[in-house]
Amino acid sequence: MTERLKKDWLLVLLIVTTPVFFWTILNFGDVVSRWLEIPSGLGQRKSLLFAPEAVGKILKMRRAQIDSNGPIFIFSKLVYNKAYIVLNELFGYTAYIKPRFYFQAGDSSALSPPNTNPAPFLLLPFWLYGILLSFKNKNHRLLLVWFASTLFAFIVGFRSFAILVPAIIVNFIFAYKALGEVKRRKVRLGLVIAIVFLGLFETARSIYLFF
Amino acid sequence: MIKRLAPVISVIIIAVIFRFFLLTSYPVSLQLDEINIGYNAYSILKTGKDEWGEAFPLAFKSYGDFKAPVNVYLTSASIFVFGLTEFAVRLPSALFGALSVPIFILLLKELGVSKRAYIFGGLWLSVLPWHVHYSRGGFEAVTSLFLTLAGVFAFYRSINTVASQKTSYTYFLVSVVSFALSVWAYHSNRVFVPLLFIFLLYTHRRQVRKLVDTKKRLALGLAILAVLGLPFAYLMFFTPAITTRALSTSILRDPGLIPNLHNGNYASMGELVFDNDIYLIFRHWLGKYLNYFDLRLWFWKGLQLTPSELPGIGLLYLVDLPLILFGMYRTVFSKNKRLRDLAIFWFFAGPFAASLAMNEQHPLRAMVWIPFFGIVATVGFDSFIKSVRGNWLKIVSLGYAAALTFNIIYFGDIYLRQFPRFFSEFWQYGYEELSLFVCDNHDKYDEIFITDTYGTEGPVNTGVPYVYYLFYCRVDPASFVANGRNIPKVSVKRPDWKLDSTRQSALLVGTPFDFPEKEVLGNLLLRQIDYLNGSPAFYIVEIK
Repeated sequence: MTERLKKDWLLVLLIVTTPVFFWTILNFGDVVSRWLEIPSGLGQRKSLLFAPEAVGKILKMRRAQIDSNGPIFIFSKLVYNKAYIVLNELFGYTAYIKPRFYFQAGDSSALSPPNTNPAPFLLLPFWLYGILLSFKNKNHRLLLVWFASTLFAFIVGFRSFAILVPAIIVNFIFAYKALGEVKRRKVRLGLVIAIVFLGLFETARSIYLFF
Repeated sequence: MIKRLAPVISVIIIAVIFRFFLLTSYPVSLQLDEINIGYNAYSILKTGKDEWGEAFPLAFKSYGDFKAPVNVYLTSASIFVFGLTEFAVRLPSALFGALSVPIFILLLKELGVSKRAYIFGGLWLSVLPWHVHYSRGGFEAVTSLFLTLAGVFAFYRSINTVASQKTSYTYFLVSVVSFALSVWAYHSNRVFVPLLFIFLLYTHRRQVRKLVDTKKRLALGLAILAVLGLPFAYLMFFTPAITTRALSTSILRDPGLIPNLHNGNYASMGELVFDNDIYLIFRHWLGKYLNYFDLRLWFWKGLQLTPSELPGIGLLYLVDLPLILFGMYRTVFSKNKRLRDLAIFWFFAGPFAASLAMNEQHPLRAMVWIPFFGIVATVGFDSFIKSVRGNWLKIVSLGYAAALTFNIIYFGDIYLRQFPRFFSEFWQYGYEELSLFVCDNHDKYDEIFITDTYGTEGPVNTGVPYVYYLFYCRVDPASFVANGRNIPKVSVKRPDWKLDSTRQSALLVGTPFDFPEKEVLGNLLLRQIDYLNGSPAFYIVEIK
């Protein structure tokens, strides 16, 4: 473990200097209580999928002709049905992997207070590159953890950093691995300094705004 | 020769069909900008002046938004040939939309992708909902994108032929002219194109030095830039044209930002350091910028052809999701440095200009992003067909073709059935019928009042009926300007029933909110114009 820490000190530094780390440690009780709420959230989500409101929306599209009593086109029956509702719902998953969510907006909970960035925006290009790099290096375990974590949060319907803790950690690993690909040492050092400075600034700012 | 070009010609024919089929019927009506461009183009053709009486302007005052000039002058030519018709107004964008396809194919060829791949890239663009929709709606961004693509193609052509051909410098000049014109064609490109040009010059600085190797060549290039750039500088520093437009759409006017700003009045040092205005503006912009990196926007609900609470269609077809993601992966690790660098630049810079404006996820302003997706889709396709062989290739290709066909039919359903029904009022449906009615009955009344409001939600949206009247009634632009921009007998004013019902020989055109019940109006109601969802749009009421 110590060896690992020595090797990956940069990763630890990237994590501990961000607001999301600070607020997660400070509100660890919230993380636990959010996980305990999962069973009730799951039941609620299932019942909402085919709620009359959701079905009503699709019916609006199915009857795209003015005459609400007129015949329904075959294509409309083929497309605007319950499978379409499920597909629409599935696209809700994209909200769990949006860069803005992790690098600017946050989840507005105690783990990421409103109007503060959860992580330095400079990490974003490295995060994106890190994801592609993990595919290239066949780092399936890392990708699986990230995918499973975000998918789990989506299934239980909690778009919350408390549930997404594993994905957030993997996000940092992606960015860290991508930073390691910067060949020029001085450039890499400059980037690390800038990212850490931004992280500390964002953390200090969030403390200033909410204490 | 014909056999060799057959795939490219087929792709161009598809592009033309997608952009010209029922062009005047879909979108359902000329929208505010189209009608204004149309009448100003007509005015230029007839009098050499715009609707405000300014001779050959470089920025059209229009509604006070100072429209870019390229499309107006192109529409003048179109009106010269086809008359003052809806087709003539929509022709330039549809035409340049279709022409963007062969230019994109040529660009891909210059970037070194295989023949099969660049034909696929052309096909991808020819049916792309994002591009098709805006090409049909007379939008300036389409012409501007064409010019940008032409500029990039000509630039790479000049770079690729620098060692072997004398024409390379000519291509370079064509590139400079195309880029400069694209800046004149659409506002958003005033930010993106200079960035792109600087990027291209920097990444190919050695080849550019070879191209511009004599003082004469340098002087010629700079002279062209000056001719096309100096008027822009003049407009920027000595007229309100550029600044007014920039400020009216700027992120700095965003209602979501303004209440948070301190305007320099900080309560403490902590506020100055941690919550200063520069940081707040930057953070607000960052949110808008990152909003464009959203798979839902790209593939499911981005084109805004259905109301916000309903599903719709993305900027790209859903079937392209795996192709685009795979293409991004292959592009980032591609050995083709030129293609890789260009794609990465375009990925990050594409939505930059759009993010500086106050709207969230504005697909029109982000149109210049399209080539990025086209490049990665092409790379994805190229890599795929190279890595899969035999029956698998056939199976996947057939599967893709079937899924694409289904996606196109879905787009057709959204575009031809859902979109007109949900949004006819926001495309100013009804104004044509209203204008023609008023035109035909102009002589029967002493006064005519046309409401400036529209919509089913109440008198909350404001339109510009006078331009529709000018356009559809073919009012002589010279007499309109000579009359102090007034139309004889016609006033744009929301009817006030209590007051206006006491007039004599008047025609009132208003929304249902302006009048009592239909039963009360009785025979006074001469015509009711409905939106395509069946809701009443306008009542035309006669006061004897």
